[in-house]
This record gives sequence, C-alpha cells and structure tokens, in this order.
Amino acid sequence: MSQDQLTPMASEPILEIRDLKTHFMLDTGTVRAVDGIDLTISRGKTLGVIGESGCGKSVTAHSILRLIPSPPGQIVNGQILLYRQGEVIDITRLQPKEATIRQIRGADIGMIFQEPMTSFGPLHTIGNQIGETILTHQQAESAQSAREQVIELLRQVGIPNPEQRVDAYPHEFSGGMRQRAMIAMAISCSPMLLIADEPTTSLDVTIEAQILDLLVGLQEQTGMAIMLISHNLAVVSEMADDIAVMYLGKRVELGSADAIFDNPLHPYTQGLWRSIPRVDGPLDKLIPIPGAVPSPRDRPTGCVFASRCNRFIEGTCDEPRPVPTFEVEPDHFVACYLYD
Amino acid sequence: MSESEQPILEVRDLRQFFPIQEGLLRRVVGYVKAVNGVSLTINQGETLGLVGESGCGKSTLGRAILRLYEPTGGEVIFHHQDRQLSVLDLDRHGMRQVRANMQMIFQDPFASLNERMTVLDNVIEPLVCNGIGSRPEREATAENLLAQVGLRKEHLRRYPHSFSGGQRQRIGIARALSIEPKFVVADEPVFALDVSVQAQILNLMKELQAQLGLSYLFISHDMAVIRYVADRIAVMYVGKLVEYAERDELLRHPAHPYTEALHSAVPRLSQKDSGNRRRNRILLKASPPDPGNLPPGCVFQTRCHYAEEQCRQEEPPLREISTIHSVACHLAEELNLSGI
Amino acid sequence: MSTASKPTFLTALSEHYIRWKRERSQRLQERLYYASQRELVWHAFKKHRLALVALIILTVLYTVSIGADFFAPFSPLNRFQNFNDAPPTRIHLITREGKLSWPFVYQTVRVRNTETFKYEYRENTTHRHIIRLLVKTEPYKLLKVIPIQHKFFGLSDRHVPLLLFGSDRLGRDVFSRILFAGRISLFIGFGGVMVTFILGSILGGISGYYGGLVDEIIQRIIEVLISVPNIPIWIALSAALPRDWGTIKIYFAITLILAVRGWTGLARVVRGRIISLREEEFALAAKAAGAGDWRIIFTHLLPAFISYLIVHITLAIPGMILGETALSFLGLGIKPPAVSWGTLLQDAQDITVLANYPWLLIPSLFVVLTILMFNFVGDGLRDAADPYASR
Repeated sequence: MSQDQLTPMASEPILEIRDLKTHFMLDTGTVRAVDGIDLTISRGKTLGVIGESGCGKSVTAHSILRLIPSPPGQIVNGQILLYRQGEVIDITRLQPKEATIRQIRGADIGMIFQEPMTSFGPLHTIGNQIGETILTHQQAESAQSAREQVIELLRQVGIPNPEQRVDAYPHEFSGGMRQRAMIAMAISCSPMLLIADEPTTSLDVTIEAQILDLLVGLQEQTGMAIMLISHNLAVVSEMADDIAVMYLGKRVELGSADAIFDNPLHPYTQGLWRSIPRVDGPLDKLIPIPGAVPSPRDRPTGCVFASRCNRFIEGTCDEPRPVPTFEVEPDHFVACYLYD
Repeated sequence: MSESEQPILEVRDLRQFFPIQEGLLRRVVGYVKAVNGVSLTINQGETLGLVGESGCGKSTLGRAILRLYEPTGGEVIFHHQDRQLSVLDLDRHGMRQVRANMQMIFQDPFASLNERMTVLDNVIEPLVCNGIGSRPEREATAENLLAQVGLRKEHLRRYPHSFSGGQRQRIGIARALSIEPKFVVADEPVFALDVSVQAQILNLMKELQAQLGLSYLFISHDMAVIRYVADRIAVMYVGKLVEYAERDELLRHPAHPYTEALHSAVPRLSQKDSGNRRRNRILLKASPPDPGNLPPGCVFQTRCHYAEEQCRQEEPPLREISTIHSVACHLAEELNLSGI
Repeated sequence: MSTASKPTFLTALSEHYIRWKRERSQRLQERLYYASQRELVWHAFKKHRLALVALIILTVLYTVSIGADFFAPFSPLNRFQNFNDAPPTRIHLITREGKLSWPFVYQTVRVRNTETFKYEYRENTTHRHIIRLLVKTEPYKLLKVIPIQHKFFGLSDRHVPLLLFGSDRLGRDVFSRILFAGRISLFIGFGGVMVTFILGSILGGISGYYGGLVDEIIQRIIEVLISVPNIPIWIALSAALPRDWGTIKIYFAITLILAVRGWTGLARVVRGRIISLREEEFALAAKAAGAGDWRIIFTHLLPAFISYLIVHITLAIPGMILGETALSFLGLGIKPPAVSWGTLLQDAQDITVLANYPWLLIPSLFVVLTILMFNFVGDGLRDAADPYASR
C-alpha cells in the first residue's frame, strides 16, 4: 500500500500498444476492426476503455492475448510491447501457438470475459479447472497443493464455503459467483495485468457493485494493472485512472479520468456525456447523438465520427486521411481537427 | 399529475405462478412465484417506472397485465370510456377491444419484429389482426406513423434486417402505436441499444407521450433511465413490490433497505471523490432468493443489513407511509435511509 | 512534366475506380434492403458451388425423367428380337477409312460361338448408322398431351438397336427403362415427403404450441413408431397390399408406407422449434397485437423455420428413394410391368448377372447419383437457411 504512493508508478508502463491494426478479411470485404490504436497501461493503474458496439475494444483486448481467430482476423500492423522483469516482448511477433504466448496468457496477463458461463467447461468442477491453470504455469508442485491454492483464491474473491464450492460444477454457480470464479482463475498466477472485458455487463447492479468492489480490493492487494473495457460510462468513471474513448476502430480521446469527465474534448465524448441519463445531478433533457454507429464495413473515409458529428467541418473532416492526434493539455490527447 | 389523477389501469393482487414439474409423470412439485401479489395503479398520461433486477418478475408482470400469459390470480382493471373492464375475465371478443388499447414495446428490437415481413406489414399487424381499416387506409396510417417516429416512408417496403437497432426500435414503437392505444407497456426498450442511441428512443417516447396522452408502464433495470422517464417509481424484488413512490421522493428518501442498496450500487458518472475510488457502497450479501423457494417472512430478509426477528417471521404488507409513498418494510419508520 | 502528371493521372484513375466500386457495393447493399427471405436464402445458396452444381444435375435428372417419352430412344417395353442381354452398343467416331465423323454405330448381329455355345454380338461394319438429334418417329403424345413426332436422339432406322446401357433379358433398352423408371423412383420421394410434411408439421405444430395432454399423446405415438425398425414395418405393410391392385394404387400405397415413419422425425423438429419460438418476442408481439393462435402459428412461427423444414425434407427424400428401391428390389414394391429403379435392379439379383451382364447394375449408379446430389443440395440449403443468423 504505502509503497504504491512512494514510487512514481504512473510513468512505468507495463503494456504499450503502438499503432495496432487488426483487420478481418471477410469475403464481403475487409473489416478494419481496430485501425491504428495507441494505448499505454501503467503498473498498478486502471485504464478504462469506453466504446459502443463495433468500436474495436474487445478486438484490442483479444489482440493483446493473440486470441483473434485467424483466418479471417489478422494483426496487420503495430506493436504490443509487454514489459516484464527487465525484458520487452513484442506480442505481435509471437507465433499464436508458441510457448511464450501461452505463458503470457494467464501468468502475465489474466483475462475475464463478459459471459463467465462460456469460459468454463461444463464437465469439470470449478476447482479442477482453476487448478489446471495453476499446474500448467507451474505455480504449484502437486495437485493437492494446487487445490489448496484454489480454495485460498476462491476465499479471496469472496466465494462462501470455498472448501465445498471448489468441487461444484459451473452450472451450480449463480452469475455473480461464476464471475468471481472467473476472476479467481484470471488472478491464479498473479498476473501483472488483468484485462476485464465487460466484466459486469450481464450482471445486476447489486452484483455488479460486489464485483467492482472486489476488483478494486484485489488491485490494492496485488498492485496489478487493470484494463477495464466497458460500454457503461458510469462503471468506467468509478474505476479508471485513465480513460480511452474508442469509436469505430479508432482511439478518439485519451486522458486522465478527471480530464475526460470534466473537460471532454472530442465531439463524440461530449455527445455521449449529454446523451446518457444519470441517477444524480440535475435532470436535464438528454441531447442524443443523431444517427447510429455505422457498420464497420462502411466506415467514413475521413474522421470516423464525421457522419454523426455536430461540429463537422466540410472539406476537412471528410478528407480521406487519418485524423492526427493533438495533445491539447498535458496527457490529454484527442483526434479531432477542432484542436488543430 | 396534471391529469387529475384519473387512473387508466389498476392491478390488484396480481399473481403469476409457473409450475415446477419433476419426474417422468411431470408431477407438479412447486411453483415459481414470478409475480406474487402485486397491486399498482397507473394514471392517465403518466409514466410508472418499474425497476428491479433480472429475475425479479418485472417483465412477467408486464406480460401478465397484457394477458400474454394467463395469470394465476388477481385482477387487472382497465378504465375505458368511463367503463371498468376486468381484463382477466374477458372473452376473446372483449379481449380484442382491450388489446386495441393496451400495447407493448419489447426489449430486443432484433427479436420482436418479424424478419419475414416488410416494415409495412410489421407496423400494420395490429390493425390487420383487429380488422381496422382497408389496406390503403392502413398504409396511410403506417406512413404517418413512420414520419412520427422519425423514419422515411420509403422504409416501409424494406425488411427489418436492413435497419440498425435504434431504427428497429422506432419501428417497434410505430407498430405498438398503430392501433392508437391509451396504455403501453415498455419492457426495457433501450436495453439492447448502443448508449449513444438510447437517448433518441427515450426522447421519442417522451414526445409521443406528450402528443398522444399515452400512459406508460416503463420496465427497466437501470435506475438512471427510470429517473429520466418516470413520474412515479415502483421497486420490485422477487415477485413483490417493495416500494412505490413519486420519483424524487423515492430517489431522495428511500424507505426500503433494498431501494437504498440499489441506489448505492448504481455507478455514478460524477463520483470521483477525493481520489478514493472505493466509495462506501452498501454491498448486499449473496444473490436474491430463488422465486421457487422463498424464505419465510420478508422476501428481502436474507440480504438485508437491518433485518430483525420480526422480518424473519412476518411478511410485511405494502403500506402507505405518506400520500405519495408506500413501502413493504416493518422498520420503515425507524430506519433513516440515504438516497441519491 | 510527364513524370509529374503520370502519378496524378493514376491517382485520379484509382480514386475513380474506388468510388465506382463503393457505389456498386452500395447499390448491391441497397437491393438487399428490399430483399425478402427467399431472395436472401437464394443469395446465400448461390455461393455454395457444390450445392448449385448438384441442383443443376438434379434438375437435369428430373427433366429427363418427366420427358422420358422424348428423351428415351425407345419405349420401356419395346423388345428387340434376338437381343437378350446384349452389351452396350459401341459408339464410333472414326470410320474405317480413318476419318472423323458424327458419332455412329454399326448394326450388331448375334452369333452363337460354336465352342462355348454362348451368344456373342458382332458388328456388321458394312453400313454406318449415324446418331442424330431430333429424329423423326411415329407420332406420339408427350406427357399424354403434346402431340410430337420426334425423339431427342436416335437412329433413322428404328430397327437397328441403339443400346447405350445394353439390354435386359427380354431385349429391352436399359437406358430407356432407367429414364422411365426415374418417373416413379424420383417422384415417390416427393409424394412421401409431402405426406411427411403435412403430417409432421400439423402434428408437431399442435404438439408444440398447445403442449399438455395432446403433446404427451403425440410424443408417445412417435416414440412407439420410431422404436419399430424400418425395414420390417415396410415389408409387413407392403406384403399386406392386395395383389390385384393397379400400379397407381400400389404407387400411392407405397408412398404412404414410406411416410408412416418419416413424419415422426419432422414432427419432433417442428415441435422443438415451435416451443422455442413461442416464447420469442416476435411471437409475443403478435399476440399483443391481437393475433389469434392460427395466425401466430401460420404467419409468424411456421415461416420462421420453414427453411429448416425444407432442409429437413431435402435430406429426407434420399431416404424415401432408397426405401422404394429396397422394397421394389425385394419384389414388394412397384411390380412389373411398371418400372422403377428398384425393379430394374431386380434383374441384377444373381451372381451370373454381375459376372456376365454388369450393365444391368447401371440403375444403381443413378440411385447413388441422385442421393448424393440431394445431400449436397441439402447441405447448401442448411448453410443458407438462416440468412439472418450472420447479421
């Protein structure tokens, strides 16, 4: 805890994504799901990634763990640099079946998904499945000690009676319990980074609160970094230190959580803030963003948000070239010509 | 309530049980009490927000009111031109008349439209089923409706698959309104939509309400959405209404511990207090009880922080604590609960 | 100057091309907006090459069988004297002088080999008989309606045998008989499937939509029916058919026998789909709109899985064809003089046939071909059946 405050953690990156492009070559055309993303996740910090359907937030997460089905998916450009114990590994260069990437998955980077049911096989007990992860990464000597570790993990994530629940099957768990078990599996090898892809979307608010609380608690204990992906702005706002806003495969804005919420720069971010209902604060009329998110197949050629933007500049925003990123205030980046 | 509190719909002690069958002979071994004695009133021109977590029976309640299921017991009274119709006792013919006045907007705009029919046929389905108007008249109605919900009349000849989620929900709304109902059940109408599109639909529903004098039963799990649309709010928990009050009263001065926990759990956008991300949320224990196997006493006692001996034995009735506020809690007067 | 202008010209061209391509795909996309389910299924089916080829082959098979009067050179009962068990007639392209010619045949004559005492067929090479398209014959009525006096192909001399697949023991042309037999064998599948379809979707629909006691009874009947093995039930039923029934009567009776079990599988599929669709929002939406049960089942639920039914049926036809072939082969189905692929194969029942007259097995190739093609088409349809799934 105290160590956290003493060392300047913010400057020490644990994962750096540089100009990542992940495309899907379908027979109907190329879908540029992620099209030039830069992100940095610092040790012990939480990076929130906000975006709607088709913005490429999940594809980014899957690219980090090389879980993109190929074909049709392919990382066509960019680097994903993982800093671990003095060495730097470019994940994009690894072969998908190589031992290094398998070691990275689980041991260095853990991941939790939206639907925990599909992440567990139905035929084995929760305990066996988590234990197997521990054994593959050689974090335990024997099955017996692995089992003890699993029980400890289940206790850590707040599953009651872990000694009995360790032998339960996934279907015997409720949604919230399954998500806890999923988290236990993800942190079983004490990863440096936990990727949480919509971890609470399928859960109820009271259960969501439990899970978010658990994640914050685990982070305080272990000092791991979290990449929290969500479409729920409120969830991200409560959890994140830094926030990246994504739209149609582009990172349109990046900054500290305070900067993004108090001083949103990109018209998309501003539009989102005006269009979502809140539980607190004044009850103003919502001002929707017009139109719908275009299909990733027919994205605008210039600025991806041009077709829905209320500050669209003819002749600039629709020019078929990528929009440059401007650093408007320190550590607050936005990809919009308004700040040129 | 400007409409002088004229009720349009009264629900009295509505119950909807589903049998649990077991064994080869499908013997009934118990009941899932999805809706377990709910009473509420909806006034003309107002929106009653019904909030609750998944599995609490809020959708079942909406469907039972429209008699999409056959309720197990209770009464639904529909006020129609100075007459009171008991919906659950009507025969086929009488039901038609009621159906023409009570419609539904569904949750998933991708599942609620018939993919095999054009937009036109989807929109005029209620007119066809009730034998209203000739074909050209129906088409004219459909054209007007489409304009009202913000679509173009060329869209009528298309099939639903060519529309985005938001547009489909507009079609769903046009369809529900084609028969000029007085009362509409909206079952999570923005749940499946992108955040940037939700506000469009919410605003559209509010505008239509103002124009046409509609009354809504607006079902949602999202307190922020409910706060934006509702005049009064009912909170449902495992088949029961636990609290029922005017909007601001319910938000600021909740009288039921569950409502308080719900408020506390909802993630807030502006919640960035003093660098401590671990807000003092009220975290509920475990998950809701199984509606097929209810605990004795109060339905909430298994998770309640304030539960006393009385709560474990006696079921609290829903009672008025002020003219605008009802609650089902033994301790309502003693507790001093915090709102939003 | 020229070096500078060249790239700009090229960029302009490529931009033009990109715009053209974008507009084209947009036009295609827009057409899809207005596409009904049928058009979407067809769009997806066309991408499945193998299925498309199979569909074409099936179409040819069916056309040729329906128009057997025209496409077959001889009537199925036409006997060539002294041509019992004759091998396929050789078709020549090169004349004795070594010149290329239209395909032609020589008159064959039968001679007895004086050593083995077997009949042998020799070509009499004095006269060439050229195979022509649309040869004139005695007038007849195509499909008993259209008066016509040509055959698709043949020889101008009707008495010279042209036996593409040889002849059977009575000297009848196997090729012509296969085409005529296709009329029964190919269509008995349809007949059986129709009955299957009607019984299956009505009983399955009722069972699924209403549930309860009706459902229980129908399910138990189905369970009993599927626990009886196929072949014995068919054999028992067809053995019970009166001997003196005419071909038409027998044909329909066999159709019914084949459908007796066929509907059970379909009824289960329909029931399962109805149960899951009944709770779907669009079905509830229809109910909320005031639609009656009948309208919900037939305009909302059934169309929602009609494509699955079509796939199921396409894959059921081969079973029916095989069933008929098996029954007729055992002498329990279609009886001579009516011909089906099964009755044709009856001639190939003993080992001497296999050894000496292998061409009598050719009908089985048609059975195999048809069944394979149906399976390919079924596969293609299955992939195309749910055009909304990928969206």
